[in-house]
Amino acid sequence: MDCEIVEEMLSAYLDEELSVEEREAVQNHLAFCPDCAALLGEFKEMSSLIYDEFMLLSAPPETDAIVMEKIVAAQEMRQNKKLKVAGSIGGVLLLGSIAAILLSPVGLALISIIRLFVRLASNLFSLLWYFLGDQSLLTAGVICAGAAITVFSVFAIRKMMQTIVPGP
Amino acid sequence: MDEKDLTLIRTAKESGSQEAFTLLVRAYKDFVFRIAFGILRNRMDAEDVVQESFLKAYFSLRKLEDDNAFPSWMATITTRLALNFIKKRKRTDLSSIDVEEIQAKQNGIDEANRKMFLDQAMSSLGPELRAALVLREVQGFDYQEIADILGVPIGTVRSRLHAARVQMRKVFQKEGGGFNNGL
Repeated sequence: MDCEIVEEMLSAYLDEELSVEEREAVQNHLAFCPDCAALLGEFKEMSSLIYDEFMLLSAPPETDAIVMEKIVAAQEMRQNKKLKVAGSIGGVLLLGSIAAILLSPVGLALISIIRLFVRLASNLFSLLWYFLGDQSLLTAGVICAGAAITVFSVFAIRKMMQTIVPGP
Repeated sequence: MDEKDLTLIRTAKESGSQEAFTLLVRAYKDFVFRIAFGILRNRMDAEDVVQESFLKAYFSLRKLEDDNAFPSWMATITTRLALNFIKKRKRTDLSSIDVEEIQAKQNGIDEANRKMFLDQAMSSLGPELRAALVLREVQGFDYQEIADILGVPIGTVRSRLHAARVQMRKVFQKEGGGFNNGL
């Protein structure tokens, strides 16, 4: 086995990732090749240097507090998102239900009834507008309504007094 | 991984306990930080990726099938986030603060230089090579685990590690004459 092939296998040899046969072949080569043995030595030294340097590194002490703050914020955001989605689905369902009811025979009957009420209200409004145009009729109407409210109030107060203080 | 960690993982997974997860973050933050820093070579960026990794882990902890695989699962999340971070930012610069920090921690000039050259050598590697190197040299994952974490064939891991070591050796030789000259 020549040096070029061994060099390519040295990294995996160092990491103990070669097959038994490959490992034996590399070991045999290293026994009589000082260049490849030196290269392996450099790889080993580089490995320990990298390991040592990284062991000096540590995450900031406040990492866990920051992470948990972010988790709580993300949970709130997810909750709000869920509520928005639920609201949207609810709205769509409500509109769908209304449309379905209105398009059904019951809905069509309801629409006819609503139309009748609208027409009735419109006619009543026109009638009221007509009477409001006449001053004397308006005055008479206000007086009648006032008198009716007064009579009703007196009657209601008497009835209430009788209930609270029963007669002998 | 000890029984205490397994209990914490189980508790956080089953009940979503924030207390248990806080303790897990405390136990694994250095492990995760070293991977992120090894790939990104920038402390601030690494801190961002660490936070993002734990956030992602918390919300997908239920998907973890084997609790014993938690370290390699965390390594997978962190490595992929760090590599995506580089793709997005398109920068892998080594900040002067990091070099100063390393120098400040050393007593002798030779040792400081040695660390600085190591930094330069690692920064000269592409992110994929750095990821493979850190997972192997710092975290001690075997080739199959690294292949699973990176989502590449085992042969690619082998060639990446070899390429990374050869490239680093070249930088060492160019900058300071190699290991045998007292670097």
